[in-house]
Formats: sequence, structure tokens, C-alpha cells
Amino acid sequence: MSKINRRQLVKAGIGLVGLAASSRFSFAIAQREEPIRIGVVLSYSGPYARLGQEITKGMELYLEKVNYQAGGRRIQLLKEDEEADPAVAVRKVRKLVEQDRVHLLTGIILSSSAYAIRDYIHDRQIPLVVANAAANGITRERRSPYIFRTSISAWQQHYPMGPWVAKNVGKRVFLLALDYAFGKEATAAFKEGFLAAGGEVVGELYSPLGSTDYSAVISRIAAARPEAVHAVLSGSDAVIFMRQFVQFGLNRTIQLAVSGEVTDENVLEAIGDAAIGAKSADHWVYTLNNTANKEFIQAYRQKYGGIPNHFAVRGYDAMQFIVDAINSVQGDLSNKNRLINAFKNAKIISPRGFVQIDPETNNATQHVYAREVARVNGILTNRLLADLGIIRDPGK
Amino acid sequence: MALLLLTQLLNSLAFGMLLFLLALGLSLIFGVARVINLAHGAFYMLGAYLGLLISTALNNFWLSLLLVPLCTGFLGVLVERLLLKGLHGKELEQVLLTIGLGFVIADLLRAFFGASIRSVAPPPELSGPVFLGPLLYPKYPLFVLALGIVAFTVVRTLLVKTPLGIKVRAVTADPSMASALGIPPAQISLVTFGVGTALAGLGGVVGAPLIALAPGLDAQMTLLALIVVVIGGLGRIEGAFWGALLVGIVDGFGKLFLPQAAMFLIFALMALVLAFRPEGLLGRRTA
Amino acid sequence: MMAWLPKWRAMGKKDLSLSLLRVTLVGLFVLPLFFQGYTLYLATEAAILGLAAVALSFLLGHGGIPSLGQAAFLGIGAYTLGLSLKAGLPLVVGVILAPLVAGLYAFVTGLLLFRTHGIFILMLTLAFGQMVYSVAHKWAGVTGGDDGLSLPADILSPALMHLASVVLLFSMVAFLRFLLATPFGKTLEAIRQNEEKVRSLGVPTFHFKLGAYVLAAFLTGLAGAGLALHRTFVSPHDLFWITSATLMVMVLLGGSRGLFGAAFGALLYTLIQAWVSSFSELWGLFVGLLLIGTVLFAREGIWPLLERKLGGNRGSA
Repeated sequence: MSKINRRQLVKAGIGLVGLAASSRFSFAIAQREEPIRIGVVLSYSGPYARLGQEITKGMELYLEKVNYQAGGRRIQLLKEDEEADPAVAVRKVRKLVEQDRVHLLTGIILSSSAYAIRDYIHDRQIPLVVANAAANGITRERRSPYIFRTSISAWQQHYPMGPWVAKNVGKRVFLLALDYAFGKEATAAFKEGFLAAGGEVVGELYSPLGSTDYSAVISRIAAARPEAVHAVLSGSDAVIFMRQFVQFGLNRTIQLAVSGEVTDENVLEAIGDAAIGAKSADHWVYTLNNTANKEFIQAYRQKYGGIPNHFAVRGYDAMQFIVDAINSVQGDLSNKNRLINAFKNAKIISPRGFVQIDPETNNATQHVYAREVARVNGILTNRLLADLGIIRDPGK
Repeated sequence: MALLLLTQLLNSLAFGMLLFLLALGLSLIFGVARVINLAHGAFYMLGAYLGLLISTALNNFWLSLLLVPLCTGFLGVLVERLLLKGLHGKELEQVLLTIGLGFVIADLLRAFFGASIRSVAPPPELSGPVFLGPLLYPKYPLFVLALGIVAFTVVRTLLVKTPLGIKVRAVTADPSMASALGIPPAQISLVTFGVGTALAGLGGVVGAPLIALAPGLDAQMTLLALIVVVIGGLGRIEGAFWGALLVGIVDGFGKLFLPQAAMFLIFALMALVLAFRPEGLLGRRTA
Repeated sequence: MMAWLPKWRAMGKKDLSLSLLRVTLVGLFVLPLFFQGYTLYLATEAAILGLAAVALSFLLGHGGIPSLGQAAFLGIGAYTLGLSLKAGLPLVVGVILAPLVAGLYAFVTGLLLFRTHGIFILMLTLAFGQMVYSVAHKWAGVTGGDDGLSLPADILSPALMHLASVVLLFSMVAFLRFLLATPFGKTLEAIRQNEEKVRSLGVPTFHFKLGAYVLAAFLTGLAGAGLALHRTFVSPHDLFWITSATLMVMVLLGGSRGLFGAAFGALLYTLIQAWVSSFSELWGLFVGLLLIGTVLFAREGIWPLLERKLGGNRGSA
């Protein structure tokens, strides 16, 4: 045997002995040292790509705050693109659960994706923290003990605005919404609260997603002569509508009392000053005066530049719920029931204020605020007008 | 009510003119180069984003109106020469190649400009409303309306009066005969393709203040352009003009009176035209 | 059975390679059964979409009918199965209804479709497809709109589902190949090559094209039903024209004149897409480049390229 071979043999021998010695301890440590894998399923391509990016920013911002540690273990995010197609979401979830062996899942922008994966999640008993999808059914008729929603339901976000608008804005309202599930659920919720408070609906219109022109809609609104318009739009539809609304001069006689999705900071940029004065209801406001919010805004600005939006808040909070739950089980995820219970009883201090999981529905009970678009210190954003109270989704 | 209808008419016409700018390019490209360019909407989007870039960098809308079509036209020429050259007559391959091209352009734009929604303000000369009798109407859509009509007249004159225009019409009518007469169809196709994509880019710049820029815009605009061109007739600019106006009006008044069915109506119209008059309402039978 | 023997012996080395290639493909589809989980899920999806791709390949490559509207039949099949399960009908009924309803839509639209030719057919199929999409999207009371339609899970075990899909896929390939050798198939090919000539011989070409179109829709509807069972979810997105374009890409990758090729194209595309989209959100760029590359350099598709390299000059059918 040559010299080199012998040296290698000795090294190998020492290595083996060392391995044998450590292996007795290593198994116990292995579980602890193994990072916690969290599957994040969001849209990173397609029309909702921006939302996916912002939610991720919020998540990573929170994880940085806790140094990517929870329950004494390191946290690892595995991101997958749901592409705005529920079939893809199903595929990605399966991959994350079966191939990547994640311990829990979060994200989900589309409600249809949430519905598509619901049975799979429920049967496999994988905890899912929904960070965006708003369909009421997710925490009502299709709920599961393993699915928690830390964002907000369409009903919660829009119901409280009804009575507030009837009292503070006007009693004749035109309802406009995008023609899909969220648009319909949000409008129905607003209508419920608005009619109960004595309001009158003078028109109701659902426009197709991705419309390139809202002039016809604006004509109809003008003809109906409402005092205000409640619009549930998002993305480019929100931008086009708002700009054309002002272009046609309707803002001189009709007020805008819209969904928080229309005046969220991520579209305000594109709408520009045309949005100033528009009132909306949402679960977060830039000017909320609590420590958590101030800290969040500063951290966001420092890391990403610019101002955050409610999607970043949703990501931030979802991660806070997850980290808190992992902490309360001391990083031991083997006992599912303990983890689920930790989630069920979770409450956090969020930039949105106090948020608590409702153990009956697994949906987040939280404040909803009335706000108005304005320039605050030169920044185009929303300022708080009123706290509409702590809103709990009824679950039916 | 009359005011409402008048407003809606103006809206429809303005939107129709934007569609015309878009569809004109597509129509020319098919009529002359015989290519179905399903990347047309992507060229539109490219034009819109380039317009955004130039407007912010140079703060001049009119300059971008000039520069952007040159850029997209040049790109179009490159595409025709490098990618489409060997595919003459192979329609399916052209369709698939241009679909792929559309994907590539759209993703590159998203990588470069990001996924957030961007809007472009109209130039100060054209923002704000103007009084048309009792009606208050924004200036910019009127500008688009005027531009469309001007473009139509200019292109029509070019096609009828200039030598190049005559060659283009010859190649559209009968490429082999044109070739026999000494007109090189390949060159004419190349030039027309470039003009077509230049027009798409122009449409993008002009349309940006009306429509927001966001991922997915390319697919929307391709579909709209296709519908207009099918209804109006491939290869005839009169077809693109009247087809665009028709689609603009059907879409606008459809949304006004039957908003639920608007999308279905447009496709049904397209299907009917294709089934009973495939050359379009104004087109002529292509070989 | 014994008649096979002399045929085997008569086959030259090249023919044997060709058969081996095909057997390998079948093997690739069967292999995931040993893997379970996610890999199996992907493979089943590839097999089901493969059936739709094979139908399109038959329609396009042998019938000469370019369709960018196959997603409509996929979706019709999926929704029919989903709704019939919801209505409490037994699985078998749903599986039979799905292709029938799809075939019916093909028949009705086909009557309008074959009045035109060439590129207009492509656009008309696109229009018909989008019409079905808008119905699925708007008729939320029935289809669930964009919330989608959920099906009960685990009607068939994943392994059984996969086996059934693969068996169906390749038996349909065999069936179509057999059909192409019959007078019907030969007439269809002749029509594809020169319709006027065939018509001048007194053949009612319209009926043949319509027949091919309805058959392809039937198979695609069946694939749609499989898709619904497999994913336990149907959404209007499945009907969007991008899905039709995806099937076209699969056929292109596989080679538009090959039925085995289309199955291969489906497998290849499904795997590539799943793999690429996991590490980049610019998968559209990748697919676009793949499309451009295939059209320019491998116009016949990747499968015929393989066939030729391994099987000599015997073309595929």
C-alpha cells in the first residue's frame, strides 16, 4: 500500500469512529437541528405577481426580525409559484408536501386555489395559514381544523363599511364590482350593512375582469345620479376606473366609498392624485398610530425602500402567527394537535392592531378601519378616519 | 339620456380608434406578409413600456410618439428576417412561433419593469376636460379619436397614391403575379412587417394614458386586435377601420346595456363573421 | 397471436429500434407507479393531457384541421363529470356523459366550422373555445364560477387512476392508428393533402372532417373527465385559450404527425413546466424560447428526430 492510501485509511477510520460516537447523540439533535420547512405558495407570475412579491416581502421582513428562528430551530422558506391557476396550486402543494416534506404551508392568493387544495390539506392534516385568499367559504362551509386564515374574509372587509357610508357619506349608492367571486361576495356584504342602515342602492353593475375601458360604466353611474360609488376592483381595473372617473369629472359630484383593494398603496402609485379624497374600508391604514405599525413601516422602508401596502402586512402577520405557534410548542412539530391548538388560540399585536384567531372558524378577528386617500408628509397613501370596530366573521 | 348616449358614442369611437391603430398593423402584416402575428399585443405592450421609459426619462410625450414606433418597427424587421423568413406559407408554424415570441417579450418586460401596475399621464396639453356644448368630455380620448382618423387617411393615401403603396397592394392581391411584374414580395413583406409592428408600438404609446400597464396586457390586446381584424377583414385597412369602430361600439354599448353578456357577444359576433363571411365584413377572399 | 412471430422476424434492425423506442415511452409512463406521491401525480397528469394531445395530433396531423379550441372540450368533459358527480350520478355515467357532451358541442360548432378553411378555422375554434370559457365563468350558479368546482377525492386510488390513464392513452393511440389504416383514415389523409381533388371524386369531405373533429372532441372530453377526477377540481381557467395553446405545444414538441410523439410531447412538456416553474417565475420566457426553438430547428418535433436517429428513415404514423 502506498503512503497516500494508508493516510486516507487512517483518516477514514478516525472519521468512522467519530461518527459512531456522535451518532448516539446526533439522532436526538437531528430533529432539533433540522430546519423547519415552510412551503409558501403564491403567484409569482401572471396578473397577481406583484401581490405575491409584496406578501413575500412582508414574510421575509418578519423572519429577519426574529432572525429566521422559531422554537430554537432555523426556518426555511420554500417558495412555489401558483401562477394564477388553481390546478398549478394543487400541483405545487403536492410537491411541497410530498417531495419537499414541508412542515406547514402558507400563502395562497387565489380563492379558487384555496378551494382546490382544501380537501388535500384536510386529509393530510397539514397546517395551512392562508395569507390572502378572501372567499368567505374558506372559513365557513369549507373550513377545516387545519386551515387558518390570518388575512381577512370578503365579508369582514366590506360589511362594516355599509353603515358607515350610510351615516357619513350618502344614502344613495351605486354598486360596481368585478365580475368574479370576490367582487360578488364583497358587494353582497357591503349591501347587507348598507341596506340595514337605511341606505338605497340605485344601481348594481359587474364588469368583466381585465377591462381596458370603463367609460361605459362611468356613463351608467352618471345616469343613475348616486351620492357615492362603492367599487370593488383590483389591479389594472382599479387604476383605469379611478383615472377615468376623475377624467370624466364625476368626482366633482359623486363621492368614492370603495373597497380597500381599490385604494391599496400598491395601486395608488399608478392611480396618482386622481385617488385623493376617496374613502375606503380596510384592515390596515398607513397612519395607524401603534408601535408595531411604526416599526413595520420603518423596517420596510429600510429594507425595500418606498412604503408598504396591505399585502406586505398580510405576509408579515402570517409569519408572526406561524413563528408564535412554533415558539409555543418549543419547535416540536411532531405533535400536530398541540400545534393546531397553538394556532387556534393565537393572538398577535400586528401593524393592524390586535388580531386574534377565532377558534370556531379559524378566521382572524380584527379591526376594520375607515380611511381616506391623502398626501401624508408628501406620500400618497391612506389616512385613518375611523375605527369601525372589531369585526368577527359569523362563520355561516 | 341623450347626453348619456352621446358620451357613450364618443367613448366607443375613441376606444375604437385605439383598436384601429392596433389592428391596422395586424391587418397589414397578414394581408401582405401573410403572417398571423400573435405577438402583436406583446409589441403593443413593448411600445407602451418604452413610451413610459422615454416619457419619464425625457419628459416628452411627443418624442416618444416618434421614437417608440421606430424601435418596435426595427424589432419587427429583425423578427421577420431572423425568425419568420423560412416559414412563408406555413401558417401553423407562424402562429406557434409568434405565440412563443409573445411569451418571451412579455416575460422579459415583466423581468425588466416589474409586475406592478404603471400608468402614464397624458401630456399636459391633452389632460383635463373640454366643453362640447353641454357635455364635459376629457381631451385625451378626443386626441386618440383624431389620431385614428388621421392615421387612416394617411395610410390610405400612401397605399393609393405612392409607388410603395401600389406595390404593397399588388403583393396583397396576388404575390406571384406581383413577383412576375418585378415587385419583390419578400422585401415588401419585410417593410410591411416593420410598419405593422411600428404601428403596434405607436398604439402602445397612445393607449398607455388610457389603459394601465400591467402583466397580461399583451394577451388582452392580441385578442382584441384579432377580433377586430377578423370582423373587419384581413388585409384591407378599410376593414380594420370599420371593424374597429364596430367592435368599439358593440363593446361600449354592450357594456352599457347588457354588461353580463358583452364578452360572449363579441366572440359570438366573431364566430358568426368567420362562419358566414370569413373574409370579414369588408375583406376580400384571400387565396 | 402467432401471426406476430413471422412479422417480428421480418422486421429489420431499424424497425426493432423503432418499436423499442415506443416500448420505452410506454415504460416511462408506467415507471412512476413505483414512485408514488408527487411524481406519480405529475405522470398521471401527463398521461391524461397526453390523450388530449394525441387527439389533437390526430386532428391536426392527419385531418389537417388546426384547432386552438381543444380546451373547450377538455373543460366540457371536466365540468360534465364534476356536475354529474355532484348530482349524485354514479361515476360510470359521468365518464360516459363527458365525452358525449363534448362530442355534441363539436358537432354543433363543426357544422359552422367547416364552412371555412385554413387559418380561419384556427381562429374560429379559438372563438368557440372562448365562448365556452365565458359561459363557465359567468354561469356561477351551476359551475361555481371562478371559485371552481370541487369533486370528492379518492374515488380511485392514485395508482389505479394512473394505470387507467396510461392504458386508455395507449389503447387510444392503437385505436387511432388502426383507424388511420381503414378507408376512413385514408380518405381523411387524402383530404388533408388535397381536399379539392378528393371532393371532385364525389367524396363528401365535409362529413369526414366533421367526423374527425367530433372524434377528437370525444377523446378530449374523456381526457377532461379524467382530469377532473385526478385533480378533484375544475376551474374556468382550464378552458382558457392558453390551455389550448399548451396542447398545441405538446403536439409540436412531439411532432404533429405522430401519435406516439404527442404522448411524448405531453410527458416532456409536463415535466419541463413543473421543473422550470419551481425555480424561476420566468417560465413563460422558457416556454416561449422552447416554442421558437422547436419551430425553427426541430420543426417535425423532437420525437420524430429521436425516431429518425434511432429508427432510420421509417417515419412515424
